[in-house]
Amino acid sequence: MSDSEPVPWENVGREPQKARSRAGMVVDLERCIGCHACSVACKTEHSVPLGGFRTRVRYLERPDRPTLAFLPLLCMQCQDAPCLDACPTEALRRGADGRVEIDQDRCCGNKACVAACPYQAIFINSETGLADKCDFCTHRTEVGLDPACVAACPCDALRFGDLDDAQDPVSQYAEQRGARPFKEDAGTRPSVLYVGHEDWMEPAAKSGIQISREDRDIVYEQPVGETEPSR
Amino acid sequence: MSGGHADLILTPFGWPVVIYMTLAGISAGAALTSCWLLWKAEEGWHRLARHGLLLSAAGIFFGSLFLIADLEAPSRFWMILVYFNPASWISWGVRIITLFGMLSLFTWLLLHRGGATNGELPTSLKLTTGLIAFLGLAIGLYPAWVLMQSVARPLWGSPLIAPLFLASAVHTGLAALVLIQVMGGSERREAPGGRRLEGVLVVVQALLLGLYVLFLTSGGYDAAAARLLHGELAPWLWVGVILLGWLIPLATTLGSAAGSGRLLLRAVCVLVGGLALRTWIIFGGQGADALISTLR
Repeated sequence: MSDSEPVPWENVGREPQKARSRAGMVVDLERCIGCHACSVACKTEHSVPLGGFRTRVRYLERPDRPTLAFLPLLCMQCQDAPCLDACPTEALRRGADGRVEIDQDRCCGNKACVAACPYQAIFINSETGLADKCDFCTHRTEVGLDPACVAACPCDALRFGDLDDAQDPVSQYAEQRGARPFKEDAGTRPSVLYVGHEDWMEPAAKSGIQISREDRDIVYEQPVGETEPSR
Repeated sequence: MSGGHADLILTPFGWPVVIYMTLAGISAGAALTSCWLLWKAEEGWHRLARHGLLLSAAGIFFGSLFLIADLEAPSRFWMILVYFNPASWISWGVRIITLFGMLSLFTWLLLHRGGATNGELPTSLKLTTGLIAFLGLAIGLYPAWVLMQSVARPLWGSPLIAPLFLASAVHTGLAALVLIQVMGGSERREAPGGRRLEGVLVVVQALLLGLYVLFLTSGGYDAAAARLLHGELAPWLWVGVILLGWLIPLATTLGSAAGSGRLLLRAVCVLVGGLALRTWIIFGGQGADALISTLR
């Protein structure tokens, strides 16, 4: 959970929710242990089929010492989101609190958003054939819960709050720890900020699904009709 | 080059998009050439121009079918026409393509019914051909423009792609008309200025492509540049674009006036070259090594 007071289950949906002007997340890479609790919670929460990820964790080999760094990646809910401009059917929309959402009833799966996203955060859901991505668990946050990944993280590495509210603990945490966006040079002004982000991570974090090793990514995919993932 | 759903993140635009962009280029080029023939050439060439307009309509129609086939939810293709996002170039492009196809077909019908008299175009045809030429120009540029909008894939970001695609569109459109001419048209001789135009189009494309190669090799995307210039995609450039698309067609312009055989060879090679150019650029701009920030 984030630093804010957890909402008791019995009060979910009863308490008036605070209006956020810029829903955002701070990911503390110094706390992440690469346990994939966030990926699993997200998969479970949204029934994401095999081969697709709304949230994923990449394992990166440090260039200076033989250890790994862990990099959770999700939709960055960019303030200048190129996916919004790319979509010809306006299936991607910005919510009142700044998050970017996909209207599945308007998506035709033309992949313009997939091509436009600098973070490879949008994928085609193999069951629906439509674009899919993280939306900060709108259905949870609107009743006062944290997104599933934030709730599942055992190390408090993911924190959800209002980045525009200077009083919000998450905003203050970002400020104190010097959180900054990933791939800043894409110029999309993300609302997911990273603590402990180092420059070497950007070239290392190519767009495989989970693990980056040398120059090649291992993409786990489940071909139709097979039970074991293939490499 | 594109596999399952996981691969779609890295390579969202696959073969259907390549074929669609090639057909769109041929349509745009054929329309521009046909309009030019109607405005400037003697009446003997008007029949070929009429065929060219039909080819434009058919090319853009079949190209659109490939675009629909590329959708992950093809049954929802109508949404692109019904819903409109003014910020999306694809939204505009789809409408331009629809208008272009309908106008080409309409103008073909007008010409088919004997719209031209004594070589002088009636006002209605001047108007429609003017509009078709304008839209053809837009369609010649549009696929490149869509690629250029992708912040995520910097190798598509070069403004050189737009004039390169336009020059290739004119080249392939002209080749498609030559193909029609050889296969069944009444005019089997080489069009006036055809050789010179062939040379100009190849030189312009070579210049633009040369600058694009400089852009590729200086942007910090070394792995992607290697893949394009001497790796997996290199045959599309050296054999497809340069040998088939440029050198062989140029060779057919040498010596005496080209007969049907040489014209046929020229047209087929140029069309293959147009497909190769788009394959090279579209697949080259995708992949893990071509994503923004993979190298800094």
